[in-house]
Amino acid sequence: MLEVYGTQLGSRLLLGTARYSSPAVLTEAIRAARAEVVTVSLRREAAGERAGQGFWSLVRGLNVRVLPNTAGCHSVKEAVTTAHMAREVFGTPWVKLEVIGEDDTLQPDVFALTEAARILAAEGFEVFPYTTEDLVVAERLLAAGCRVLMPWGAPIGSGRGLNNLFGLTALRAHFPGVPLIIDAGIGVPSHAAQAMELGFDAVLINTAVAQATDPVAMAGAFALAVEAGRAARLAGPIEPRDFAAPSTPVVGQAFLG
Amino acid sequence: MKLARVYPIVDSAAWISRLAPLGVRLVQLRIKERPADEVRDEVRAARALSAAAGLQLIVNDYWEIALEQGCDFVHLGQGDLGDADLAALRRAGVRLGISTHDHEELERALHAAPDYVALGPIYPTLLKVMPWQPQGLERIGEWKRRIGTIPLVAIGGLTLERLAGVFAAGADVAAVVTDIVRHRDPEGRARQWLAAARAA
Repeated sequence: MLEVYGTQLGSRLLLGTARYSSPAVLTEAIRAARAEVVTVSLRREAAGERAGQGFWSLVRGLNVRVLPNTAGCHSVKEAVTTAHMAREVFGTPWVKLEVIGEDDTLQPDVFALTEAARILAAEGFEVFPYTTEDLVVAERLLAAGCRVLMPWGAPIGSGRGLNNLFGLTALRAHFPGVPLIIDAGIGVPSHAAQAMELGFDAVLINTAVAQATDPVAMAGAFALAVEAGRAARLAGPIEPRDFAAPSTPVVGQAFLG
Repeated sequence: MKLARVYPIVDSAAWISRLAPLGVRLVQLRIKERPADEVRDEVRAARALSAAAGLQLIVNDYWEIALEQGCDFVHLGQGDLGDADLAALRRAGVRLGISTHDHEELERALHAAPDYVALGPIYPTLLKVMPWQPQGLERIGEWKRRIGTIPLVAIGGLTLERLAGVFAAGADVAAVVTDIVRHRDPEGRARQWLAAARAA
């Protein structure tokens, strides 16, 4: 079981709730993914067109744990205020902290992120910071009070998979005891399986499911991939090598002269 | 408490979650033609969000739901002014803003000892079909002289470009609807409004 902030999670697939074609599809996708945690954007996805409070009621009715995010925030102050409101609306100390620093890549502003994490952790929030694979930033986030890290695979919504394998592998190796959840950039189930094989504790998927032609079927595919990747990690994968190694032993072969 | 110099009028609690983080300190929630249960849910959520963000919420029209949900500021039009239990609102410590469009309405409003008086529409508005011609800037000065220290809120057709003129004419506060919520970048526009209010 994965433990985050004292909560045991049976599922290692977390699902975002944005960009689904309908509440019904979202509900079915969550079921197919067997997700126990869903992220919800207080600001973007619940606003205006989505008939705000109706959407929140729907999410509350799904019988899953809600991880509110601060999507769309560009400053420490915005993120902190949004976290306060999210705690009020969803009644949870959890917050997925996003502070965007660059609009084209939606790359986190790691300086503002660290500062906001420090403020929120001191106020009793349980912070899940959306960060890069940078080791120094990870160290600062842990010092700020984070007990979970959410490094990106690739820019949000890009579907490019794990862009910096070296960096992500190093991150995993440096923080063996810290739950690491790959957040953003996963495009297809093989990316998710790869993250789990590398030893990441869970993955968070949104666009790759929500924007698939059949989101419910894709959610199911991701569930299988995450399970397969996790099982493979536990089973101990072989190391890659440069030359072939015969898989069939030569000893005992018939000598046919 | 002094009112913020500009405030957005929104139709859902979700808008508060979008605008509050930008530094908006005052919001009016104006919901039109929705079932009472939905209005109650919106008001409850808006109150919770406002409290968490530390902003002042003004609930338009639905004074009974506002009372029941523990809100502390309501806005009434002239139609609602006749029906509302002003004594109950006062007992609960609820503050009151009132819309006015002509002298007769202004006298009625002043009789209720409001915490602010709203005058509109200053400019043609996209949102309401109104029997009133735009009041124009001169009317703002006239209203301000009549009501003295009571804050005067200008509303109706306001845009960022018109804000300076409205303040110069004597309005204490400007209420904005479409120029923020129907803007293609509501957050960006709201930031501009807040900056303009700070500069005013």
